[in-house]
Amino acid sequence: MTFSRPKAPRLLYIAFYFPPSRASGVYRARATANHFAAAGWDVTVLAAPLRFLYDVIGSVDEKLSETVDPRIHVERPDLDLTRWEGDLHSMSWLQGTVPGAALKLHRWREERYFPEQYVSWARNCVATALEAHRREPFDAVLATGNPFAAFAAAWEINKAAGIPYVADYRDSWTLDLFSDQPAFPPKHPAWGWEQRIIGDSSHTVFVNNALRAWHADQYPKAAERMMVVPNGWDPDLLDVGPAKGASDEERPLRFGYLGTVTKNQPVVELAEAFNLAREYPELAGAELNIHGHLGFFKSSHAGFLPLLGLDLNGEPDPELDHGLRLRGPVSKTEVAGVYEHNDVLVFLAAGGKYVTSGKIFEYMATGKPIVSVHAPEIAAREVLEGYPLWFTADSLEPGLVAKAMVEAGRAARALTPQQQTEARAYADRFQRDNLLDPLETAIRAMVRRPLPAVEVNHG
Amino acid sequence: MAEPATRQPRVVLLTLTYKLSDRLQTFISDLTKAGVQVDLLVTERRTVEDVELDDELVNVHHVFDKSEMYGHPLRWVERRVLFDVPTKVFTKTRELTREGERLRVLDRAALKARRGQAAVSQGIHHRLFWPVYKRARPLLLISRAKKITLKNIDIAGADRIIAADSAVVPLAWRLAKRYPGVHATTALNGKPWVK
Repeated sequence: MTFSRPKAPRLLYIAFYFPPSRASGVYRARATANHFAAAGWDVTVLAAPLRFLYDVIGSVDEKLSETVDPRIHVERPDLDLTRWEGDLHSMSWLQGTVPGAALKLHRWREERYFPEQYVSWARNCVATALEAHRREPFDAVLATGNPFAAFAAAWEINKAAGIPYVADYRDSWTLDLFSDQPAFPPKHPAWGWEQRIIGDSSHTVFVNNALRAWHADQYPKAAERMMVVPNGWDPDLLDVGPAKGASDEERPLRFGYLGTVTKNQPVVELAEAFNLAREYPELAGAELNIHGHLGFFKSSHAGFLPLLGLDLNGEPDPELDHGLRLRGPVSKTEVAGVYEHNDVLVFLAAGGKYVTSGKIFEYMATGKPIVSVHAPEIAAREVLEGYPLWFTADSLEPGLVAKAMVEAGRAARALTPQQQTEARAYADRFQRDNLLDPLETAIRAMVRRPLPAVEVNHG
Repeated sequence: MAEPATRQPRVVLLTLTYKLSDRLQTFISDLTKAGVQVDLLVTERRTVEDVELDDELVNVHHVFDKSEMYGHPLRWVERRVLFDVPTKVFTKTRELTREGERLRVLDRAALKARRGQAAVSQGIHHRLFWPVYKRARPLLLISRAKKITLKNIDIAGADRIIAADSAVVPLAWRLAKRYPGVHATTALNGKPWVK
């Protein structure tokens, strides 16, 4: 008599933004899929169609695809691109004749089912998943949002085939993170959908405790199935090099911010505080390098420039100069160089108590001093509080922020390799693989058949 | 032997707004900086009156020589009936009634009627005429704009047709159907010329 070895558990991962997308949420999705593959899962990812990534949003990084575990199978269900259609040759008579009415009709048809523009993709995800499930059954479904239509797809798959699912709230849906208020009016269909999705899920995952608590309050019956998986950082994408301590070059200090600057962030307070901080001898001649886009659109530059003491060409305006320097966007491969170049990293963040920026984990991984410029009650506190080189004013009052900047500057000047190593050791606990372990364990426990013993293999 | 001259790229940029948005102005400037010739179709002459454009590279075409308000028959009639004619009638009437003690009652009545007429005209214009006209405008302007574009612009030889706003999509869509070999889009994307 022979016994066949139990097959590897099969995970269906619904992640719209997946490499080669370079949307901000893609790193969590990439790491999650890789983590499950390394833990012995047979992973199938349902991701956005390439035409959407290349032609509609044009935000791709092909090198990122090379970092996806080759054992992962990726499928790209179709998305109806009507609302994004820019090619006039491809437009229908209705779109070409009454574009406004055609778009309204299209939206009405989509929103009847689910209040989001990615609903056609979600429906195709369900069809693709059920067909694949018939060929070889999945053991669990993990969906990450946004887009939140991914959750609706997981829920539908559960209803149709009984596969247990987990909803990973990489982003907030019904809570507006900038105003801390509900994002939809009381009778909006998003509420009904969220109740269904959270109510029927095996687990719901959030990026911080504040978000978990808010959702637990909204859906108390599901509270005990809610868990937190912070964002973390990816060692395979960030080579921080050896801990060298303070720079031995004799030059003014360099502060650095990496990311897009938006109008929701306290930019005015940042510029004012840095201007005040430069009056202290420790920060004489210091510069604050902004590595990223100003605003989300090219035309949004103009409004920001005077606030940053820059002229219309983005160059320092001699009359307004606050020491801020616009260095432009940085590709993922150049990020380590940016961290190496700057002595102090500036954590500029919008929003309040529910916000944890993904950037903060990379900042901590460098082991360099970090100075905070954001609302004091921000959720990122819960990870920053243990970091030994964190400097915060607990306020957005420019004078107090300036003092925190000066303290961070002093720490950067005196930084020893030992201090940097200790700071990095704290950041190591936020390596993405470490943070994903509890999620993998929870999903493994959902599988309703005997599984082979766990053998971690990173490809 | 002389090298063959490289052909200058040319874009047909269509817009039917009354004012060029900052975004569109930046886009045109990016194109011209990259040496792209632009055939720009705008609604009326004053759409580009205060806009700095590269005279050598941007060729501006107008759907209406002066203004749409008096250029389109429907708007001309509306303007005349609701505003111009009543204004003339009341001005003339009050010229007669303003003088003389005995006509004061008549003058007051005329003034009241004038105010009432102005309010009604404004109401009809803003609540009835304009909402309907605004929706029908893209289709109403097609034949006139098509005449201008087909007569004055070499579309077959253009590298791209760009519809810069939703009002101009019906015109651009028809041009795209007529010239299937020309890339036609609604995206303000200057690639490959603009880096």
